Amino acid sequence: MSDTIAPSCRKPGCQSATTKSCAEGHVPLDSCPWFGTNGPRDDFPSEPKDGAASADTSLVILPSGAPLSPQTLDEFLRAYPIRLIAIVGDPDSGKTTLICAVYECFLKGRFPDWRFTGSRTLVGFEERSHDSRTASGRVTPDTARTPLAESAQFFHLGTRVVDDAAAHTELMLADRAGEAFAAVRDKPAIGAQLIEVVKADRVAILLDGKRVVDSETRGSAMQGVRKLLRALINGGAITKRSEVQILLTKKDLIAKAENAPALGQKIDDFFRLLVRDFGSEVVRLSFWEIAARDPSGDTPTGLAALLTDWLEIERTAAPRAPISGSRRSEFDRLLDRAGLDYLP
Amino acid sequence: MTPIHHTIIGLPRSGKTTFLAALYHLVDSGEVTTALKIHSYSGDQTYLNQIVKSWLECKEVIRTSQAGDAKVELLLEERATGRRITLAFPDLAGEAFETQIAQRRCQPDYVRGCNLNGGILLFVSPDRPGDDGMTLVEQGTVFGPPTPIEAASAAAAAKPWSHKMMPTQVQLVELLQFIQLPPFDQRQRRVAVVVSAWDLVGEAQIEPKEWMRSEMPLLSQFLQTNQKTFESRIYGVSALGGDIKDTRTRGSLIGMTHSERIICVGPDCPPHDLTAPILWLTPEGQGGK
Repeated sequence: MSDTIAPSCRKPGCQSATTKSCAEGHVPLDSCPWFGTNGPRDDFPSEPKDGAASADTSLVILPSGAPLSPQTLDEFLRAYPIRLIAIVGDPDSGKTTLICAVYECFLKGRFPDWRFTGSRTLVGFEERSHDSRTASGRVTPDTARTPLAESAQFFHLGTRVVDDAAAHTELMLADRAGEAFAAVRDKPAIGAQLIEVVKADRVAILLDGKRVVDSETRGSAMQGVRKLLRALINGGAITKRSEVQILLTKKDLIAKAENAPALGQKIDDFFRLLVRDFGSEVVRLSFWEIAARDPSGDTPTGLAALLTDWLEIERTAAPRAPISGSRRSEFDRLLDRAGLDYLP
Repeated sequence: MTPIHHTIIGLPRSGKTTFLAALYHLVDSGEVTTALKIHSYSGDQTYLNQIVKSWLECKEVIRTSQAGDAKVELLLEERATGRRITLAFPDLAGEAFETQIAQRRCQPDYVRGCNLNGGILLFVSPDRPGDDGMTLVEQGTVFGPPTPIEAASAAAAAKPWSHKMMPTQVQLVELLQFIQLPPFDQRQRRVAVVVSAWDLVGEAQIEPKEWMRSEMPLLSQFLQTNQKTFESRIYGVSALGGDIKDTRTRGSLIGMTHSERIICVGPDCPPHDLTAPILWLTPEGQGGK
């Protein structure tokens, strides 16, 4: 039997062999395009330097409009404070769809309280939105999977309160391949390398409503979220300073399910246990029901309230905080009926 | 005083060439009173004369991509003050603007022109393709859900994404965002948005600003929230005056005084004066003689 040599990163200066952490933020390590190669893969575009003259011609290079990498996010941060939202979830749970739906609402002017001020990542939004548009030639909407080879990607939306010219907020939505979160569930220690989760103002964990409706996949979907939350806490990515949102997606499917009342009870029970077991581990644990792509209507459900929560509520240092804002889920309404103001 | 040099921006088929033909006739003929008149001819007038001839005859004006790469400048003069204003069309075809979007490159001349003292005339056509940013969910609410066979065959024939598929308003926001960053000068510019073919919209009895807010909310909000860099006004313009493909309309237009065919709607804008947006781009106290 021949000896095997463990692959390592070939990027000049990379310390991942000793630190076990990717300098470019790729999780797991072997998803980095430099890993085990002599250079980045051809499909890994490099970001041109904004405003610089092109080397081979006299043309002026303009910003790429692509999603920001952790490196280009750092450059952005030198100029502007941001509100960072980490979108977290299993493969196909709808992370990119959610990001595209928020962008689409700005594109169509559907947020009554917020105005668009600009975006450095319009090309990224548009490319990700393509399979949901008629221009794609499709007849049913889809969203392309985020490649595992890409590290965290950041989508930018400059926003402003409708009647307040001074209240600008630079919203940054972080996306990453769902396989990375599956890996964290297996190895919680690598969770701390998910830089977008560690630094997030909100960690939004998606619970796929389609899988919840199906009795065969319901258990794995719900327990997957629970295990991921625990892994992120155990690995140090989510701390007592974190604000965590559980987003139940495809709300329209839940409402149309034959066993909708019983299903609603199961969802409430799931949320209640999450709060019981993890509520004291974070600043705030809240629950949201959304339908980013409800085929019966043109206005996504729940996104306006979610956006307002992302943009308006400031982080607090308190280990426990009252639930602020209106009750948003069946479980929240249960708390109302119980007269509770604080998470147990 | 520093010479004024306004830059014209617009994607292909956004109405720039027809606007230029109507403007050139308007300021040269003196048929109606306008705020600006032509100061002098400069350079080769062949292309300008060609498009004005088509415009006068109520024929489709030859688009620039069919006539070669035309870079056109008009030297205008304000009647009241004698101020001179250069109106520069860096790319009448608009293909260079598509290249900016797709290739993320632009010509140094374009940067130099934008950095001169002046504003921007931004062209928008209301006659956009039906799939301009439409989602399949929106389409589904109109036409109903597809059959499984339709879905499968469409998925197999799906088209790959390209920059050209970006909705018009997104491309225009992107073109303006480029100008907010170096090497473009960081200063406030005036932007006069010209919604062309306004006769297509005008029957709806809607103001140009309201049309923008309703039909291009992203661009409208961008201009509204970026007033430190772009002070904007919205105008509705029909350079042809109506649909020349309609025989009755064309017959009616041909019988009119040419300059009176022109429709221009917007703030401080006499009904036929295409020079009003250009004059607004030139604040008092600016411009040379």
